[in-house]
Amino acid sequence: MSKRNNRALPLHISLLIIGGVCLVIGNAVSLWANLRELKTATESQSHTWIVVNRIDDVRTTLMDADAGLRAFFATKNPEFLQHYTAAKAALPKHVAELDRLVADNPRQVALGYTLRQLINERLAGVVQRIAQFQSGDEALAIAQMYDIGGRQTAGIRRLLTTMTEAELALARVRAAGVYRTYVQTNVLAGMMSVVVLLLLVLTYFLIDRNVRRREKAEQALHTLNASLEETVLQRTAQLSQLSARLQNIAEREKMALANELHDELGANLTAMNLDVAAVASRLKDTHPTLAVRLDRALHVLLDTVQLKRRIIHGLRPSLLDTLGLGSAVAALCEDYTARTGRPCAAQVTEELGEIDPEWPIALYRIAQECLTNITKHAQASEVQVVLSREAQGIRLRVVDDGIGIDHNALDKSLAHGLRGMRERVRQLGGMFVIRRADERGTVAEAFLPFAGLAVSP
Amino acid sequence: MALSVFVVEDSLMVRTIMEEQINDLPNVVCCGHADGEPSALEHLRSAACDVLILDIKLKAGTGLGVLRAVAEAGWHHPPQTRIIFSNYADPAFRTLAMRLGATHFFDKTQEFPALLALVSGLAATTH
Repeated sequence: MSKRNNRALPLHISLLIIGGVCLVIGNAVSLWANLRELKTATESQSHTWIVVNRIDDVRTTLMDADAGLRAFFATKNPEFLQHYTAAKAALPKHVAELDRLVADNPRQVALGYTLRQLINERLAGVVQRIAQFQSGDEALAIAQMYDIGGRQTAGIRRLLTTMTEAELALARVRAAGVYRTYVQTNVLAGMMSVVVLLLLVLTYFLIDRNVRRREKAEQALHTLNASLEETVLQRTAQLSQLSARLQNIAEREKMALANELHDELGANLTAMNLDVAAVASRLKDTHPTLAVRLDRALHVLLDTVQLKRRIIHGLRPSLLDTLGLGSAVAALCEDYTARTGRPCAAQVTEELGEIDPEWPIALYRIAQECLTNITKHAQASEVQVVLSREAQGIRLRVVDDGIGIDHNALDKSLAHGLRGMRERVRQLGGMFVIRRADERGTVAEAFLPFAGLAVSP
Repeated sequence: MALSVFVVEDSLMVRTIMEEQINDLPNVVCCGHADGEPSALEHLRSAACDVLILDIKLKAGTGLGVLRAVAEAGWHHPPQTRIIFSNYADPAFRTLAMRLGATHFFDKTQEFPALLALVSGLAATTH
């Protein structure tokens, strides 16, 4: 599998998710900005009402002043003049406050300027009429109050109404703008939500497809592994069979060579030997010097025969084919004793009955290998070899009382021989076990069943 | 009456030399030969002999097989002297041959003179 597929998520899915997160953040920022605008709109709305209230204040104060003046003219009670005085004092304050509130609106500033002028004119007129009234010219003062004062008052009222309407119109324009922005923001937010939703759905399907693909790939990998394992098992079985066949061929060739050496070379050497020995024996009396030379030739001949015997013995134990496995195994024991000087007890069944023709040489080689291992490694003082025919098959058991096989023997120098024995027995459908004995020493056991267990790979 | 000797040996060359030298002995005669176990037994059943010389490895069967058959009950005139004369020097062969009724065991490589001496001695006593 490529490196790319080992990542948690493929690049395009990661990009989709990042895009979705960006959209959500953008939406949040836009909504926040909208909220701020709403706050500003609310503030400007209340500002409008404050301005309208201040205009009302100016109007009310003016009405108070007019009412106080009229009451004074009607009753001549100077107490009513206090209403007028208080109103006159309050008006500049109200107008100044109004000026401050509408300072950001040039139209209102212009109107405010006019308002101040009109108020000043009105107040100057009132002062004049109070003076006329107090100097006794009451009728003129009253007439002018209604005539000039009334016009002035009407002018101021119109102006105040204009200012109120201008402020309200401004508020309406602002509210419309805010509403438009609000609608735009909400439409945008809705669209973003739809896009995010689509991205989520798309991401879901992409991840789903990705997971399915991965599962499919894993399944394919599993299948491949299983088939590889199967192939390895098959190959192992084939190799094992091949090795068995090679071993059989080697044994057959060795046997053929041994037979030829024994039958042909052996017969020639024997014939030569018989003749030479006879002649040498007769020459002993008549030609002693010639007899000595012939004896020398006879010795060389004997050495050659011994060499031939050793070669044949190494190739194929002649006992096996002529006397059978039991005698051959017993001879191995005697040979062991002769080599080591230590006892080797052979308990063998001479008549093993009908057995597979491959078995005798296999069991003989195993017994031979075991005795060789014991000689080299076991430091045993006694060895016992048991060959027996049982109801189910033939059993060979080699037991010694030596130091016991090392648990790691299979990894060491013995390994090759042990594996060879095990493989040999397995190929014949049997089993081979080698282990430390309970107290001391080693037990090696090979069992070949008559039933011929199927060779497992 | 001459001592009759029957030779069972699969190599024609070796058998010829053996028969030559045995026939050279005084009062000894080779009464026949065979190169395998079945032919040897067939011959021995029809004609008795005094000495039987057997090789172990034969063209068919073994000399030990001949010994085993001869030792079986019901054999009318089994050869009195049964000699194994073989190239197989392993003591196991000697032990088994003796168990099967051989009277002597000679190594083919160096004990033919001893075999001849034995046969010669037997011929002298027979005479």
